[in-house]
Amino acid sequence: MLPSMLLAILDQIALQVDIPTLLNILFMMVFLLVIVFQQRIQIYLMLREIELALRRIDLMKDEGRRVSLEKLKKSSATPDPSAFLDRVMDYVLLEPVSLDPAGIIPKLDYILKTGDDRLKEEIKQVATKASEVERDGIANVVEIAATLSLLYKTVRHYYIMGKKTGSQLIIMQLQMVLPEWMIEAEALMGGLYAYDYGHPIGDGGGAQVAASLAYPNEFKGTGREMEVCETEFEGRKMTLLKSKGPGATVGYPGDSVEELIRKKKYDLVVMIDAMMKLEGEKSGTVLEGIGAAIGGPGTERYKIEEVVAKKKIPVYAMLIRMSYKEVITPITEDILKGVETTAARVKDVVREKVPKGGRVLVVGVGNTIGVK
Amino acid sequence: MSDMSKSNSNSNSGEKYDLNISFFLFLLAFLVIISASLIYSGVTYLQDASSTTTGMISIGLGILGLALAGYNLFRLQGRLSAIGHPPVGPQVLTKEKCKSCDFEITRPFKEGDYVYGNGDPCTKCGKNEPMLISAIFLKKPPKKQGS
Repeated sequence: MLPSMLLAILDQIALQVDIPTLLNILFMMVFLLVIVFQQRIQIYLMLREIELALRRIDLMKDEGRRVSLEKLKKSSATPDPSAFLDRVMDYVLLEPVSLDPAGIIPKLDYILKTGDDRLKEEIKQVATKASEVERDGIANVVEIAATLSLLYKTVRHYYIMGKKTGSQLIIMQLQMVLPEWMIEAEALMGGLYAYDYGHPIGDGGGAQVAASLAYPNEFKGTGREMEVCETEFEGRKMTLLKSKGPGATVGYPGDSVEELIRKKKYDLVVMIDAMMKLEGEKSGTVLEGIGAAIGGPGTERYKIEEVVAKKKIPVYAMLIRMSYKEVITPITEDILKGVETTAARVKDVVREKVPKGGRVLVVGVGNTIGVK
Repeated sequence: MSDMSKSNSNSNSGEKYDLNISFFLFLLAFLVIISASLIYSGVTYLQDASSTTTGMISIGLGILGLALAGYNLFRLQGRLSAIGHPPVGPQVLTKEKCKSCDFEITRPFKEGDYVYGNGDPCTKCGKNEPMLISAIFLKKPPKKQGS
């Protein structure tokens, strides 16, 4: 019934329209449309792409907020901590003035620590039932939710601005940078669940190396959110330093390295950290070099560079390659192999460069979530 | 007040997305009708020996139009499913090793597990000592056949 009706309709259209004329008109129309509206069509297509990405980031942002709220509710005495969460998610960190850069590092360090203290103290006040480890997890989940929220607001800002002004430049720039931002957003989503459940993450590769070299000896707390373990390795004294686990924290290795080097004489400092790999490079492979292997805003690196340069201690770097996503998502088998390789290489380097009876400082840099 | 305006703006943006998709589907439907009529006319022209070229062009354009519509529908479906399903939590495994008999097991991660922490008691040697959590890692998903 339906096919015969459809055929009858098509027959009617075909009888009434002269196909060559229709084709000519269509071609002319398309040609004129493309000439006149080429830019608008392009903008429309780009905006459609941005809209879909925006919608996706919106969902991710909502999921981030939901996970944070759930986590807070579990350990909070107040039934609805959403007002607190919304306030904390909007916190901004104003960097010090850099017009006169001399002495900016201590100022930045102070501001970063104040920000960190404020967030942790406020979470402590709300999440009264949570342990220290759980509070660290909450702080990291909230930070990820805040980053997703900021990403959403940034994309929305440029999207609306592009639409308002009709500026192809703004829209094109946003459309070009979006694939990279989407990768970042997806990585953050993976990180959100990792922090929520307490999975060790790729960034903790350095901390895992330090923990594996220390085992079965125990770490003791030192400095700010750091822990240290004194051990012996084939007649050499080995000091292992990492952030305080198994909570989600990166600590302040700069302060602790400064303190340790001031107290004792070291022959060598070995630093292990995660390194963002280039596309095409294999995850988990290890790169060796010279210098302080530590990322972040630069304050911790500055402190370490200052003290080792003053004391003339060689600093060796060991870097485990991984993608941005792997840095903040649960540690993969490839990176775990990289951790084992790095631990073996640290032992080799200590045997080669530190004389018997000498002392070495091994610093495992990174977020130590899920690693004791 | 701010919450209210936020929810309003969210619902408005949702309506806008729906409107865009509806308009897109309307354009696709229009393309399908034009393509179908072109194919039908092409077949009619082919029956007339003098208009073979016109018939072939019509059928070709019709098929091209249908293919374009199908491709766009396929892409739209992919994008909508991507929007509807945010990434899910990864599958993480915990590896435990018995300190007495070196027996190793790998099990799904439980909240509270951490590397160099205590795991479940060893099932092999019968001692009631907890095993050592030697590693926690993300197991690679098996590769799809043909990929």
